[in-house]
Amino acid sequence: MQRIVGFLIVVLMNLWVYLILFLWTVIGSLISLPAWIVFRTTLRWRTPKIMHYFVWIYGKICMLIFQPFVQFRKRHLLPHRLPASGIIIMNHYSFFDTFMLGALPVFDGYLCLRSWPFKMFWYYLFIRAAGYIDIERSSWDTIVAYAKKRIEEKSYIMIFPEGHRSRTGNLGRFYSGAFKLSVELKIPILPLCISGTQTLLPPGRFWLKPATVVMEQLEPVYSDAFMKEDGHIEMRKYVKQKMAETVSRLEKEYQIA
Amino acid sequence: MTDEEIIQVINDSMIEEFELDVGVMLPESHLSKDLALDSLDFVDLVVVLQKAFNVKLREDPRMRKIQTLGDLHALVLEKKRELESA
Repeated sequence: MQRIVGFLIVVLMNLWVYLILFLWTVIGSLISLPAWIVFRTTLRWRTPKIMHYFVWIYGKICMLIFQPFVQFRKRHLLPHRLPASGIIIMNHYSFFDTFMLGALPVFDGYLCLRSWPFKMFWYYLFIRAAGYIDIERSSWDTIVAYAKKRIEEKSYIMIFPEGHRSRTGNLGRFYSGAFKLSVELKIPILPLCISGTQTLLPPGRFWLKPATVVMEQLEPVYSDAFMKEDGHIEMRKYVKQKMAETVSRLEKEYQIA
Repeated sequence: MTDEEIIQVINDSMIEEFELDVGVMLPESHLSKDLALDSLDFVDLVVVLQKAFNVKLREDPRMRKIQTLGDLHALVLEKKRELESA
């Protein structure tokens, strides 16, 4: 009986989430242009900042759509815990991780992405308007100049240091880019740990499952302690260890498989 | 150290540094396509090899021609021989 109920909940969840998510995406896309005009003429925000706000709101509404079936738990996601700018890094379990950025207390962040989203026409316009960067096609000097400008504007850089979703349920290897940027530009790493989205929708599966998703913002990690030659390697290992410990603790506490 | 021991140290260092699977550490494995190393990883790789063997590879133009793990093995072995004969 329990299995039948469980199965029905899963069916209901998938029907509800995918349908409402699709409608919200269509509505969101249609109103984005008039909304952009309003924001541009009244608040005079730059287009990327407007798009970051839209992405943030989109993520928040997505989380609401999930909420009948997903419990969200947030820890230390408070504005005063984040410096005015920095590099937000997040571990990566699921396609829906980017939606969870709607839970952040800040919205003006530039995502550093791999090439594949830029090749999808339905993402391309929004990604370009948001000013995100394709790190696979950009030289290191271009990435540094880009990040420097963003930090000067008091925006955040956002990076998934694993580069792709983990398929093992553990944190994958961290690429050095975020840490090299941190040391080179003397800006802090702001680690954000997430778990539970791998239950919600892991790589290779298309149907959703009810889940508990927990997010915890760690203390900023400043590059001062890693300024020796190739200190970014040490910084990368240090931050990864901190994040792995946090994710492990959260998974035990919330019984996330 | 024998050549086999040097190759083993290279492989073990890379497995540890880049969290690679032992199964992909084949001489024909392409560093970018099979081992998923990006351009910054090549910079870190030079540091790893410098620590392991005390060989300076950063400014060595031959590093730019490295494509496979086998190429990397061959270069490090060559550098070691150059150091020993110097």
